[in-house]
Amino acid sequence: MTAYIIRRLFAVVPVMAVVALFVFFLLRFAPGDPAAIIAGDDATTEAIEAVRVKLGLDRPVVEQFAVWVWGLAHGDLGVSIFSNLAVTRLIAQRLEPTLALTLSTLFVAVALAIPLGVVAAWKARKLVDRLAMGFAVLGFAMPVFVLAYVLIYFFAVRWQLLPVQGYSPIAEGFWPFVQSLILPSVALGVTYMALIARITRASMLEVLQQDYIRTANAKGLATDRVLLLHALKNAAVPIVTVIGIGIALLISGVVITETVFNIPGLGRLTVDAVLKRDYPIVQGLILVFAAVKVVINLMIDISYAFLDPRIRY
Amino acid sequence: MSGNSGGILEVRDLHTQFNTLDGVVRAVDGVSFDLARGETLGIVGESGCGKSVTALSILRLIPPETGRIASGSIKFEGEELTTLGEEAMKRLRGHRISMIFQEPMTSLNPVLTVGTQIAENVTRHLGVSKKAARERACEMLDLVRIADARRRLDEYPHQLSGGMRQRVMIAMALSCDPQVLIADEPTTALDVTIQAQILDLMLDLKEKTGTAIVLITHDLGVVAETTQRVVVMYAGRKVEEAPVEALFDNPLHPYTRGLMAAIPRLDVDAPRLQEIPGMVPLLTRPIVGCAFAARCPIATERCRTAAPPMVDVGGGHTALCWEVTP
Repeated sequence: MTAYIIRRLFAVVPVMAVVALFVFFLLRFAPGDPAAIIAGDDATTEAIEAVRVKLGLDRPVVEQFAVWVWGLAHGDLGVSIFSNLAVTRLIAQRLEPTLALTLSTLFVAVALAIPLGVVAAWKARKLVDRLAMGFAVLGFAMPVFVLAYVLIYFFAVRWQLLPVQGYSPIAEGFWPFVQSLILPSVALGVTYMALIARITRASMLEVLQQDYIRTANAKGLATDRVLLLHALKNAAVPIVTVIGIGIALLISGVVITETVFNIPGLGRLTVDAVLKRDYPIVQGLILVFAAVKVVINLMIDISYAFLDPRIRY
Repeated sequence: MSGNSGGILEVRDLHTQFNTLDGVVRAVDGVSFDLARGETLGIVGESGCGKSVTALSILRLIPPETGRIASGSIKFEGEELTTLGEEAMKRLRGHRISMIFQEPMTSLNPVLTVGTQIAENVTRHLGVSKKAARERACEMLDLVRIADARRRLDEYPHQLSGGMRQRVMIAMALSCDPQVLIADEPTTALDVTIQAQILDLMLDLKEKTGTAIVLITHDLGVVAETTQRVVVMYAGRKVEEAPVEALFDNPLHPYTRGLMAAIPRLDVDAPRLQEIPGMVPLLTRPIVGCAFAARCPIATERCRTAAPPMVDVGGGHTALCWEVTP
């Protein structure tokens, strides 16, 4: 197991290298000249050239890449073209809201989806199953921004139970922090919940057909033990996989949710940076997102070995 | 032996049916038998004759979405099981009536340790602590002659051979000292040498614990070696019942005789194996007359039109046939 984890950690290096290469050149070949944008609409050709030299954009692409990679190796993601702040610092500032929103959404989705999927599989083709899956399909079909505004209208505007929008850092009190996260996590989590619930149901249905479930029933075990230990543990591998894939969806979903709920997270930072062609920030963000996904993948792979003793590497 | 006096399990006129796309399948169509305390009863027949469904019916493990016990009675120690509440039924399963299955490779849960799977049965039914249940599990593995039992407790099923897994199944089934053990083709999936070991083990444990065994098999050799009494099933019915010696000495029903003739013999120089011609009848349509008539070498017109009587020739030997005379 330890050897496997170490091997997988080393495998992360080439993946991240390819991501870095891709990110750098993709942005260089994207249309739009950052020097022209920074210099402003009325700038003369000389002024634009001056900006270009200042940013190092006049040098050969390969040299620019080497400089950037050298910085990366030292934990330096560069400096924002517009604000002159270190990209690492900008990202660190925005990390807390996004992390909090992602984790709370994950919590909402998983906490709803797994019981829903298990019950639906247990009562397959009965009314409870149809209601649960109908609810899941509805959740899946509902665009995040629509649900978000509906939730805001009722819970924040009409009943005034929760804040309309904004984010309250955890340092300023736990309860306001939780309150500020409830609506965005529900809005974002419902789609995601639908996905996990459907996979849970499908995977559980397959497992419930197995001989060892018949054995468990022949032992007269209580229904909850049969469902939650004997069946769910066997059904867990696809469920965990889809939760992992869902985190990737969640990160893109965060961009919309952060905009609707006015949360100063990485999603907003991304949108702003892309619109302004602030290369260093965009590069840094993509790298961070890629790293997050690589780490999540690693965690999923390792969890397989814990869930199923037959999986050994 | 088939009297009610020592009967721990009494099955009367059991009908179990399944709804399929082709109609209602009468998988078990009026089966009756008794099991005496401490007895080993064999149920034989070809695939699809309803022997496994009979076993699953006794434990009420017929999947409710597709199948049901349509009528009949199953009494365990005088208690009617067909109408017993599900909670009470769960208290019975694995505790007083246990079952082991054909496929040891798939019948154990692959993600739980062997120890957990045995111990959970004990904690569930005997209400002992987890530690005591683990001790019991260890004892049971010893009892089924698995070497190094304590270490094996923490192993997963995939780390064990087929024979070992079936031993684990037996250990699990006997962990709460059941009165009845139903073994559904327990050796079919195993190598021949392992088959003999598992059967020996079961009989040996039966001697020690006094558990009555219902042994379901298609193998007449297994029946001859292990059982005291035999029920022969065909197309969902019991066609013959006899003490094991009587059945082998004097098979009455033409189907039983056909089965015996189909056993390969080394002492007779036969050019090819005997078979029973024809096919098992479809169970989706009600059977008129004798179910075996279409394949029977001695069938008469009467066999095709009227249901045969259960003829008792004495000594607990009965056959469902027009051509048998008492």
